[in-house]
Amino acid sequence: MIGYDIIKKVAYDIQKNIQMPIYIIDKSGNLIYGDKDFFEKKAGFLKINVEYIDEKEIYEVGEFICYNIFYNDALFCTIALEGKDEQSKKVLYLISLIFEQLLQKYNREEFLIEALTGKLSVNLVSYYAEKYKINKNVKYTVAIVESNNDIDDAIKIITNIFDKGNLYTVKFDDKRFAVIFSYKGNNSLIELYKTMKDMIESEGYMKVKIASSSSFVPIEDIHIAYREAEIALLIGKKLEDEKGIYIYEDYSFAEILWGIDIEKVNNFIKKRNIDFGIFKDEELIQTLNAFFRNSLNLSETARELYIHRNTLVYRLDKIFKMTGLDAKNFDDAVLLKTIMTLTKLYDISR
Amino acid sequence: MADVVLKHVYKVYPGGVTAVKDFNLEIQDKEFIVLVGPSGCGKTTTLRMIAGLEEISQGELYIDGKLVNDVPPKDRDIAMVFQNYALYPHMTVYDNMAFGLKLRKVPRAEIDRKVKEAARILGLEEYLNRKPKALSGGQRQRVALGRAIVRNPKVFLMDEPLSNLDAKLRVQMRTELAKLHDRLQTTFIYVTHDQTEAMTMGTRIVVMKDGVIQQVDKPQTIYDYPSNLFVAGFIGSPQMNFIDARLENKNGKVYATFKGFSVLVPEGILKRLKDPSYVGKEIVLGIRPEDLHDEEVFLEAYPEAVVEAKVEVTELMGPETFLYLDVNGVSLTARVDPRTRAKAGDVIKIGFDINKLHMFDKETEMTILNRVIS
Repeated sequence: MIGYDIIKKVAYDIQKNIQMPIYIIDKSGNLIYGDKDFFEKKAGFLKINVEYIDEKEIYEVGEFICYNIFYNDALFCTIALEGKDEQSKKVLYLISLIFEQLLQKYNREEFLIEALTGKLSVNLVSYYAEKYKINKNVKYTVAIVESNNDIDDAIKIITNIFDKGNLYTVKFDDKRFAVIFSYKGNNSLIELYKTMKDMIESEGYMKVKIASSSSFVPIEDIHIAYREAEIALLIGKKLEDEKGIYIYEDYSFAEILWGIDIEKVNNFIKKRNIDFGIFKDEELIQTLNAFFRNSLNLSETARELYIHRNTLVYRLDKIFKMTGLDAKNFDDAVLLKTIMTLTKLYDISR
Repeated sequence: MADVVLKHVYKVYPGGVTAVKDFNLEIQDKEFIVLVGPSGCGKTTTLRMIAGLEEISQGELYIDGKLVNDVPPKDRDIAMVFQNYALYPHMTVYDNMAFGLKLRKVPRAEIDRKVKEAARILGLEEYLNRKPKALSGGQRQRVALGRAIVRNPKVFLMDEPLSNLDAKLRVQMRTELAKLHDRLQTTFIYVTHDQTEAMTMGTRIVVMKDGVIQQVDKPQTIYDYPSNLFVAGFIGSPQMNFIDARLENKNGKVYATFKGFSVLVPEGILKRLKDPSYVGKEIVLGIRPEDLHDEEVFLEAYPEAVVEAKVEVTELMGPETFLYLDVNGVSLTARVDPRTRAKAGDVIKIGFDINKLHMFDKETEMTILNRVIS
């Protein structure tokens, strides 16, 4: 639920511009914004929450005109202005519109948070999606954007980069927000995320990490996509923190390994009798990663690493001596990849 | 305007990956320095550390004399232009350039002044009210640069800003960036994997590999005096030819011998040998493609530097022709005059410009020649 703090902040901004005192009464009838003594003196003791609780039009109380703002069909707060002339009524109506739209926005954001975290049934998601005019005829993917800084500027940048339709941002806290979007661009998703990251970092001066679902799901299932993005963020940061962009489908192998009993992991690694020096030797780890990336192709790997083929063979022999596993052999390569992933996932360093 | 100094800078990621090792560099005020190297060499990480987007694991970074290791990016007086930029499609050129300043709550009048000044510098004044889709590719790129210029930074940081452009536009923007640097008189730090960009734009080039600086020098010096095999191979296209050879003394003359051929090593090169004991040892001989010749006049002038080669492929490039040659199992590429009569399958004579020989230690891969001091 939207808090009154934001209501008060917006009221302050409006008052500053229109140069007219605004008064706000919460749903319990307490004056939460404006000069209390003055208001009570001019309006008298009143119980708006009782006497005018269902009033949907502008009404008069003492020397004030009031307007009720509703949230989910219940009174949320009442806005009051001094004066009864037509001009004041117009101003009150305009102010009320601002607050209603603010609530509408927060309503939708609140709904999206609950939908993303799987707290709403499919039927409810469908109902609210329609209510908040979210297109149900397209499929969505979800990205989580995380930063060590306040991410408000990042949200502004993202919402301005893309076409308005079918893109929603949801702020979870000061450091994290989700982007729900239907993407039909020509570039790949990874290119899109690179653009998001480069733009936030260069325009917003903040480092971000972006994790994405791989699924394109109907709005009713966005909790699945959000879960995927969360897993990608968790595993991506463990395996390749430096990358900064993590796509769920890249971590399906690690996801299978994630959650294994740590004792089993230790026993498995112990049985292989591995020299753990290999995991501290960056050159060898880089070589192995490149070798896997190039589907165990010696020439391609040597080219990528800017080394001679013989140098690559020498390094692979060194790995064999340290691990007893020959990376050129597919079965051994699978084992090496598994051990490398496990040591990073579980931060095992002997 | 500022100088940037990196002292013994390291970047180690959680999990132990060391992306940058003992990086030492003094970038002068108003310099256009280019960090170049293959993917994963640490150039982007270095730039991001200067930007404040990556923490420095160890070492010190100074901008304009101030230690900025713990200063957040927005307070470093820098501006960034990255590879994957986008313009805000619903905003005008003016608003695109103003947006970053609005985020920083810069007063409206100041924004207006800065945007108009940047537009003037970039020749965008008449396009300020246009939306991005009404601009050409080059104009869009200029708007992206404009967003950085309006910040009036002491240092511009650019990470492959031209990589997503088509080849023609890239060449055009290369020139524009160089001109912009002249006009702004500000420090530019530019990252690229493209050695042509590095050679054409940088006042100095930093060649990196595996997180380590390989060489820092002016473009021509790097080209003429590469400090090791990697730099020699990375800078120059087509890349330098490398031949496993042996330096042999025959009747008072020294030759580089390989695969049954001998190429005379002239006095000038011998004098530059860091250690005379290389004579008699295995070395790696380097020769750039443009220093191999098939013209009759050249072959006659240097008879002791001629080998026989089988032409495998010829590539006519317009102003030059590339010959891909086989010299008893050694592959060489020669860049020759397009009027050459050599064609695939021919066995031809090819001459080495012996004054342009490069030599490297076979084990350490470092150059074994001193530079010529002019």
